[in-house]
Amino acid sequence: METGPLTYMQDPDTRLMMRVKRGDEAAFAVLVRNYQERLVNILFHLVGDQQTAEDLTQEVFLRVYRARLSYEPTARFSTWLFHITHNVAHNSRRSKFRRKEVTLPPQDTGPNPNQSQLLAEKSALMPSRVIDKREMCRIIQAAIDSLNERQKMAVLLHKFEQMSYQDIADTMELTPAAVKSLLARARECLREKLLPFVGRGELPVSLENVSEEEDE
Amino acid sequence: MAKERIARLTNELREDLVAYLDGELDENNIQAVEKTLANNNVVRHDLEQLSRTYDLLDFLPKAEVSQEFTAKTMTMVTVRASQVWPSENEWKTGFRRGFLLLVWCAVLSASAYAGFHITTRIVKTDADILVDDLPVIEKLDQLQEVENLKFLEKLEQSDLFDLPRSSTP
Repeated sequence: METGPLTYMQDPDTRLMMRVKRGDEAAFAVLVRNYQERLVNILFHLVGDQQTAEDLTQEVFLRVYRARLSYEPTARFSTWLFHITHNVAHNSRRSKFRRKEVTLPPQDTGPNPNQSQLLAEKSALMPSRVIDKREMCRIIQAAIDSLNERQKMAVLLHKFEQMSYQDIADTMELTPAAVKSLLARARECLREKLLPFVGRGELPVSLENVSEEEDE
Repeated sequence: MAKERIARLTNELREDLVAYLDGELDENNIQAVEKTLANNNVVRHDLEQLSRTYDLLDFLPKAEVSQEFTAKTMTMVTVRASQVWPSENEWKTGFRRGFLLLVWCAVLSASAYAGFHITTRIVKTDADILVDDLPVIEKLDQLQEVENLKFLEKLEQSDLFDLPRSSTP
């Protein structure tokens, strides 16, 4: 199927961005409202901090606004936006490492060993007891954090944005085959980390029961 | 035991299983995976584990933003975008990049300079060879008459010509 600017113009967000290009600031505000939570969510799970995620989200929108005059619809707007997000997150991580705020260098392959140890300790302690919702979320977040940067981004885009392999490939400048391999390795890592908490075919925690108790 | 079962799956099959779960396989590969699933308990078990552990990610909290976030973002963007001068961070980034570029240029220039001088010392040109051989070339006609160097040495050592003895040949 041929794709081109006319194809992408069917995307409502692309049309909004074309209005921004023509100077329509209200259209830009709509785009900000449509995407702000999605970007903060992705960035929060990448960087681990709400304030940093919000700052980086604003940085992404600033880059979008600055690029408005040269914008051409060569892809869906969301693909372009998340490509910028990926770059902003990567630059942020690199800057942090340079300032020695991160103790481990980013690796292109392999998990984060510190997070692996944390999960191993937790799984040794809690194979049978009930885990509350907050702790479960921490465990799942630790499993995500044990992935390397590219795996994490691919998983977040696939899980939270329901992006196809092709869209993820366009966002991360990879081939679909590379995305397939990346996601397979990531899912395998997640399986190893989370399997002790899934147990014998059943979750060790009844999140519905815990949420009912919280409501009470 | 679990690790032994995992080790039996190839990387290709593992990738296909994940792509199958994600609905990203073409028809031929779907049929191949489904045939494998029908005949292999280990693969079925792995598929279920991959699916269940991935579903746990649905429990991750969704980050929320305040109601003022849109307004703050719009204000920040319009102010920063209208700035004539880059921000402090942008200055620092630009300066760092410029400095790195200068350092690289200096390193490359120094390497080229050192390489040129080392090469000229080691590799002799035709002109260098001629200069080294000049004493021989100047007396080539006479030397060609000698034919036998040992005879020449004996003549020098004899007193026939009453010549001062030289240490150099």
